[in-house]
Formats: sequence, C-alpha cells, structure tokens
Amino acid sequence: MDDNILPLMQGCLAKDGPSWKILLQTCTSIALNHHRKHYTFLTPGDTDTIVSNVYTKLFDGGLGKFSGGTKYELLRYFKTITKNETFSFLRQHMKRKRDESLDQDLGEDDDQTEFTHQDLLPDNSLRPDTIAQINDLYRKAMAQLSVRDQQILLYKIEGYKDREIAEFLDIPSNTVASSYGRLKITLQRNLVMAILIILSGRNWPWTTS
Amino acid sequence: MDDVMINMDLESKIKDALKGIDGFRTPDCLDDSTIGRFAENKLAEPQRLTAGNHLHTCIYCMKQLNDITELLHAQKHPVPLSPRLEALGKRITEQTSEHTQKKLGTSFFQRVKEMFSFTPQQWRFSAIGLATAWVVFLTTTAVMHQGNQGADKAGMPILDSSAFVKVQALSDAGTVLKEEQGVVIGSDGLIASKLSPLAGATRLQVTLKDGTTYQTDSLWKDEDKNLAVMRVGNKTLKAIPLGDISEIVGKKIYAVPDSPESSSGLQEALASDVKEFPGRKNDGGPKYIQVATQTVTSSKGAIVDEHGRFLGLLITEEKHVNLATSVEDITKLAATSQAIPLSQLKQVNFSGEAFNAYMKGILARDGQRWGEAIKFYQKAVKLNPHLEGAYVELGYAFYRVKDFDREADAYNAALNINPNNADALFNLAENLESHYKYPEAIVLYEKALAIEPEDMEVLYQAGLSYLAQGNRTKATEMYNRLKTLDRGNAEILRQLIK
Repeated sequence: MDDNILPLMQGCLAKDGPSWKILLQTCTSIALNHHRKHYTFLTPGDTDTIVSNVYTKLFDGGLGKFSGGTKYELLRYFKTITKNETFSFLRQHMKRKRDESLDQDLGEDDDQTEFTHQDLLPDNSLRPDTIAQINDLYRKAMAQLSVRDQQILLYKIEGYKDREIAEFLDIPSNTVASSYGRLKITLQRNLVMAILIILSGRNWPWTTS
Repeated sequence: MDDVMINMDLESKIKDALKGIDGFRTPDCLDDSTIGRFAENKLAEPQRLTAGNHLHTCIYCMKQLNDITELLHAQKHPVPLSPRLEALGKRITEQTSEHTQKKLGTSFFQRVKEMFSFTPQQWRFSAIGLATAWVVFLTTTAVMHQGNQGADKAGMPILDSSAFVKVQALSDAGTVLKEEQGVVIGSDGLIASKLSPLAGATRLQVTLKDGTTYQTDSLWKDEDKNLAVMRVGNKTLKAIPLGDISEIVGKKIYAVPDSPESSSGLQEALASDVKEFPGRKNDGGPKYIQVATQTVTSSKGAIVDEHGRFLGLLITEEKHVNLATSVEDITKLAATSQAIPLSQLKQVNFSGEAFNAYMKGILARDGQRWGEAIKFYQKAVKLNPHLEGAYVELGYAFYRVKDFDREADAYNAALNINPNNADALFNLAENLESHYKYPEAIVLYEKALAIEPEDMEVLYQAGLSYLAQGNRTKATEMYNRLKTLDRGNAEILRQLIK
C-alpha cells in the first residue's frame, strides 16, 4: 500500500477489483496480527469467521464511513473494525455457550471461562487525579530515556516478547534485551527521589475540586 | 523502600495507564498521521523535533506510537491466508470487477432522492418540534414579563442612609482631588471604600450625612481588591448592619451606587455565586461575590442584601456581571494587617479589567481548562503587571500543561513583585527539584520556612531535597520539625533517612 491512500480509496468506493484486493490484503494482515496477539484462545475457524465479518462490514459501506486521509489512520481503522467485530463475535459466542449450558442443565460453572467481557473493554475508571499523578511520574521517570527506550519499556510492560519488539522496531533482539536491562537500571538509579516526590503528591488542594 | 519496589510501582502505574489510556489524551496530543510519519521517520526536522519532544513526556502518544509501529509491521509482513478467507477475498474482488463506472451515476441520484424523501414519521417529528419551540417561546415571554413586573413591585430594602458617607481625597493645599462613597462598617469609626481614587492624596476627609467632617492620614489597603479601610473620629458612628454571605447565592441583592436617600436609586441584582480563592494551604482565602444585574448600565458601590445589611464592595464596574469583595474580607483587613500612612500611597496598581481576566482565569482553572486559564492570566498580568497572585496561578497552569520553563519564569515574576510569596517559593523549589537542582531548591525551601516555619509540606519536601543531596543531618532536622506536625509524612521521611 502506498503512503497516499487517496487513489486506493477512490478505487474501492468505485468498486474497483484490484483496489479491493490491496485493501483486503492489508486489512487481513492487521486483523490476523491483532488476533494472534490479543485473542490467543480463539480457534483458526473463529478467526476466519471474524475476519470474513470484517470483510462484509467494509464492503457493505463500512469503508464509506472512514474519514481519515492517511495510511496510518486507515490501518487504525482496520484495527478498530476488527476489534468491534471480535467483541460482537465473542458476545454472541458467550451467549450461545450460556444457553447451551442452561439447556443441558449443568449445575457447576463452565470451566472454560478464560475471559469475561469486562476484560476486553478498556478501563475508563481512572480518576483525573490518578491520571495527573501517573502523568507526573511518567514524565519524570522518562526524562532520561530516548523515545526508542520508552517504546521498548511500554512494549515490555504490555507483555510483548523480545523477538516481537525487535521485529517491530527493526533492531536485533539482543539489543532489545540489553536496552531493557540498561533502562531499568537507569530508572532505578536516577528516579528514586523524583518518584518519591511525586508519590508524596504535588497537587494543590485547590485543584482537587 | 528499596529500588525494586519503586520500579514495580512505576510499572504497575504504567500498566494502569495503558488500560485506561484514553483518559491520558490531552488537546496537545499528536494525531495518528503525525505519529505514523514519526514512526516511519518521514517527518521534516522541525516537526520531528516537536513531535519527539511531545512523545517524550506523553504516555498517550507513546502508546499510539507503539500501536502504529505494530500496525505498520503487520502491514509490511502479510500473513498467509486460510483457504476460506482466500476464497472470500476472491469473490469480493470478482464481484467488484463486474461493477462498472456507470453505477456511480445512479447512486448519486439515489442519494439526492433519499435526502429529500421524508417519511411521514419524520414529518410528524418536525411538526412536534416546531410546536414545542413555539410553546417554550410563549411561556418564557410570559414568565419574563411577569418577572419584570414582580421586580418593580418588590419592596426595596430600607437603608440607613446615615451609614453612607463621603470620602474625599485632599491634596496638600486642601483641594478635593477625588470623591468616593464610603460605608461605615464599624461603630468605632471604621469606614470602607475604594482604594484607587485615594492614591496621591495627603489627607482624607470623611463627611457624614449630618455634615460632620473627620480627617485622617492613614489607612489599611488591599491592592488586589482595590479596597481601603480607614478609621476616623473617636466617638461612635452609626454603622450599617453587617450581612452574612454564607447563604447568599441565588438571593436578591442591591447595589448602592451613590449616597442613597433611603431606598431610592438602588440597583437590583442577583448574587450568582461566591467565588473562593484558596491558596496552597486552603485556609479560607478571599471570597468574592459574583453579582449579576439585569440592567445594561454598569454597577458600582456597596452591595446590600434585602434587609439592607452590608455584604461587600463592588470591585469591577462592568455591565451585567461583577465581582465584589465580601464583608468578611473587609472586616478582616483592619484586624489582621497594619495601617499605612497615606503618604506611602503614591499610586495604586489596580486594573478592573486585569482583575476580571484573573478571575476568569481562575474559573477556567477550576474547570481544568488550562490553556484558557493561561490566556486569561497572561492578559491579567499584561494589564496589571503587579498581580503577583496571577503570576503564581500562571505558573501552576504552565505546570499542568507541562511547560516547565515558563512555569519557572512565572514564579520568578511573582517573586520579583514579592520576594516573600510563600506559594511562589514553594512551587519554584518543586520546579527546580524536578530538574534535579536540589541545592537551588533547598535555598528556596529555607526561605519559605523562614516565612512560615511550620509549613508541613515545605518541611517534608525540603527533607527530601536534603536527602537527595545526601545531607542526612539536615534531613533529620527537618524530620524532627515535622514529626509533631504531620506524622505520616514524617514517618516516610524517617524511613528514607535510615
């Protein structure tokens, strides 16, 4: 896919075959990658169903709702659609399972509750003061790290493997490991005071209202 | 507390943040396109630098950068498709190829047609909407009409006009420079009036309703509120009864523009709010009454409640909405500060417009609209460069938008006006601390402590700073001073010193 997605979008909206081919290819990559990372418990069959739902959605006018103008926005749009379709698939799936278990009158809980719907939804319950506090902490903690180091740290915290991070950032996986080790030490050494000061709170009383 | 624990704490906090990442978005955050170009190294130099600087301090954008990096990676490394998906993709591609360009024409007409075809249900909704709007209009007109009539009939408060006096600023030669309304607020001869008209005078002359005159050459002043309080005579004067502002919001009040004859010339208004302006220690800062008037003329003078009790003095003289000092702060002024001789009052640094901008900034601050707050504070200090409070607030607003250099500048400006502004000292010290400038921060903490030796926050932070420098003796000293004041933080300090 080119950086300029305008011709591609125009092609797709005019129902041009080759344009759709490129679009679906990209979209599938994004969707499958997203599933491989976040929904490991889904079977390949489930994934296929979800991705074909995504296709249908895009084809049935979903693409017309896309309002961005750059490749990056389109990629994120694919991810959002995949996420939404996955949610609705899981919702139906869970409902079906529950109905089945009711039919069979199983007394005990299903042991396959590997997720709940709540786990999948973003947590928007952080209070503004917590956000401010974390922001402070983050700002001070990251002051001495490069953007690359910060990326590694966040990926690590999100649970990505060294190999994956190396692929994303296009660096050797040994570099990831050594960078991470080094940045942990940096954080430990330099930030004891800064973090303590923040933990002790720097909000004035008047801003808590 | 050891290092591992701190590190875990950081990681768990970041984890929390990643879960609710949308809450971290700020108006300054970069859009996907910029982040994407940054990730692919396609930004030109000045933009790249700004983007990099923002990314450095913003967890939200950092997360977006990671997401997009991952997406780009996925895009560049296509995964093999399952047979089912491949078949479906093929079908879509073939299906679309059959469609030719002529389809566009019909779909356009169809869209136009759809746009103009209302279903009967939709027509019904618009009819209901119109009818509702008409009813609302009629009702409001009727209510407003009635309301106005009611206001005319309502009894004005009976004012004791003898409590209102004339305050004249006299020059050396005894000529009257300016004349201002004064209110007798204490039977011991305490009189409140506006400050700015009195500047440059050598004597003040107070004329009572019965013609008696008194003279004085000293007064209490509060330049922030444009407030002067003076004491005249040594016999008892008839004072106005003092009101209570604690339950005034939403009640009818009256502005007394000139020396009134009983209740004529009063201007009806509404106390729409009482704004408190607490400082860092929140020990009941000044209170301002927000006064809303229906008339278009500007209001000035004293304000009284429905029973004729004194509530405060208007500070600003705008149309519609004004702010007034509260009676509490007026009576407090003479009790808590020293009177100055009039000869020291050469000029008064007060600007109603600046004060207004300052208050609007505080409103924006309370709504956490930091960008707006900064604009108002900047306007305020531009109009009146002596507003030290506005500088401190400006600094804090800059802190909230993470502009730490300008944060420090603002505190320095406040300290230029008043080197003993404890808030500015404390905040500047914290600012320096975040740049690891502990020695400089300590100097400021010590200054703040000299002004207020029992400030718990300052003691604690100073203790931490000493510790950061490795000065355990001084840190212990801070602990000893703190332990009776704030045991919780003192304990943390003690643990750290160990």
